Amino acid sequence: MPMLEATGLTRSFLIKRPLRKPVAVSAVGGIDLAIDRSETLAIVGESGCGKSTLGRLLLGLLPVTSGSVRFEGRDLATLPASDWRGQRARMQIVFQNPLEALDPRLPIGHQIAEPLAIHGTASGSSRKAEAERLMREVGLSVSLYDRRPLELSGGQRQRVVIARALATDPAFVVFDEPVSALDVSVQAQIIALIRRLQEANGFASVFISHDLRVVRHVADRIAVMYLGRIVEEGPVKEVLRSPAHPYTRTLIDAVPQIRQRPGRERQRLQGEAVDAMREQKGCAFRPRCPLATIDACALSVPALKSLGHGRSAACHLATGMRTPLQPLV
Amino acid sequence: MPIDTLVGESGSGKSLTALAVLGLLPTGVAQQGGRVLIDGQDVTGLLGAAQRLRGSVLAAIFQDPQAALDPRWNVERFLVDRFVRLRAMEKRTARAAAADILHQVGLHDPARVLRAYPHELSGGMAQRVMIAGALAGNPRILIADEPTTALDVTTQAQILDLIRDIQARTGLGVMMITHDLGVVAEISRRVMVLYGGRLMEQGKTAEVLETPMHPYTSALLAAMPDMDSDNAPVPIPQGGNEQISAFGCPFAPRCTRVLASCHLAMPEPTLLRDGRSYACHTHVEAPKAQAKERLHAHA
Repeated sequence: MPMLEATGLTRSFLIKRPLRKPVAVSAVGGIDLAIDRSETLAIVGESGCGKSTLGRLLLGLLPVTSGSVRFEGRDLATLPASDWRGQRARMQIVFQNPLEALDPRLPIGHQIAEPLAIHGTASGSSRKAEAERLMREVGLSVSLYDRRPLELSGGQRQRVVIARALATDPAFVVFDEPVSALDVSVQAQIIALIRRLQEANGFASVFISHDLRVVRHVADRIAVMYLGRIVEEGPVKEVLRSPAHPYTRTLIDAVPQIRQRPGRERQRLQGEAVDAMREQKGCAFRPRCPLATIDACALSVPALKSLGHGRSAACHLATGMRTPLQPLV
Repeated sequence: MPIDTLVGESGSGKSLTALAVLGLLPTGVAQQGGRVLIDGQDVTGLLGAAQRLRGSVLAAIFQDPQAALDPRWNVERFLVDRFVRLRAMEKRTARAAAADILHQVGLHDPARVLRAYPHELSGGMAQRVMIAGALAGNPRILIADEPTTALDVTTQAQILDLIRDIQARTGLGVMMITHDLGVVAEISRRVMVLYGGRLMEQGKTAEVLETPMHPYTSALLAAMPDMDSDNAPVPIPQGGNEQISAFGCPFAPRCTRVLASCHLAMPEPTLLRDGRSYACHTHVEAPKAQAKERLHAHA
């Protein structure tokens, strides 16, 4: 049994518009995924694709519109309120911007120790010792214990946020763009830290990012999202080497590379994702797809199909096989 | 003119270099020396005083186009204002020119875009509008300070294509500032690597990236995550809290090849062929011939 399992996960938001009827926009539209113990799943896609919403749904930070999230076999939606506190200790999140995630007035040592107090895992005197242990674990000098977030560098602040997330020894951590705001050399440090912690602590994680160059080095599997759906999933190296979905392919081709991939014309993605508020038939990627030629693309939304070897893609052309056309309505 | 890039981490002085050239240094920061030459003409200090010169000789685009646009002005007003001020156009001609220039930056529904206010534009569209505004003055040089950093990777690729395309079409000189060596490799013919406000290395992009001479360039390359390789990105050593010596090389505290002399004096640039140079004591003292050999092997 996977540690975390999401089935038919959807979440829509009601968007109020002046002088017009409010419209329900689907941010996450029917996602199935499973994460095993000690496994890291990267979720990638352009801004607005719903990757951060998905991260929050998996943590139960946002109620689902339909579908379910099961964590260690228990459905988060049916969890009684009294169980949530204990549950929170098991699942944590690291945000992109540490300055917004930290209290500017509180010494960082206290912020790292706070979850220990809340969850009663360590008493007064041992709490400071435990916070200091966490600081050392994430590579922060203990001498910084009484500093406030503004006195630290960006990389140090992100280490504080990571130490705080690890304070309750969680089984599952969502990293939401944790290195996007950092300089490349600091980014390399935080990537190394996350890798080390994954191995040492064995937590499962979801790594949300828009940077394909980073995810290769922190994730085992990758899920590519487009307008609220997973369009491709599989082992990260294989997907990056030979993408099955045309969207994944254009995403890879757009990555600025120091060493170009030899012998391949890069495909450029035209335009921008269609307005999520506009209903449309067929594959959501069709308006920008360089391959969408067959009728099926215009008529039916392709389902995520297994391609074997742990890979799957939601594209009518992914296997070269046509799916049965749906009748015209 | 080719596209040149200025690369370095935050705090390396790359944006300040651009602002100094533009005559837009923030209050309290003064240019202490040096000259800015455009086509051999000394324009140092002129740009700050003469706004007109900025825009018609030099134009700039920045990282956050939404912040650079006035939220109360729609795109038409912004562009018409540029044409009227920089090209002394009549309003009516300026309106036609505004619609026309939007096509040039790949916005093919000018009627709709002209009516739009900044908040109605996506990040990519807003950056295209900024580029249109920059081109309105028919400048000779475009300074692009991290123009794609805030954009999605797919939009980034489109904007880089657009800048490359405009450069090729108009012969405009482009100085692009970025922290991403991938962007450097994609777009520039020449690159300058900055650290601590100093030029560490410069040369043809392919040569600098393939055979870096300066330890900082090598460290920056190794720190870049590579999508096609299992080699994990290597962090650049932190270097503790030791003060950067006022005389020495600013990279010395973090350098793995540091020598005693590095703390004492900033190395003079060592000049190689084709405008390639690097400023590092370690290479000067190491056999220079060997380094040159490496360079020739790749040429």
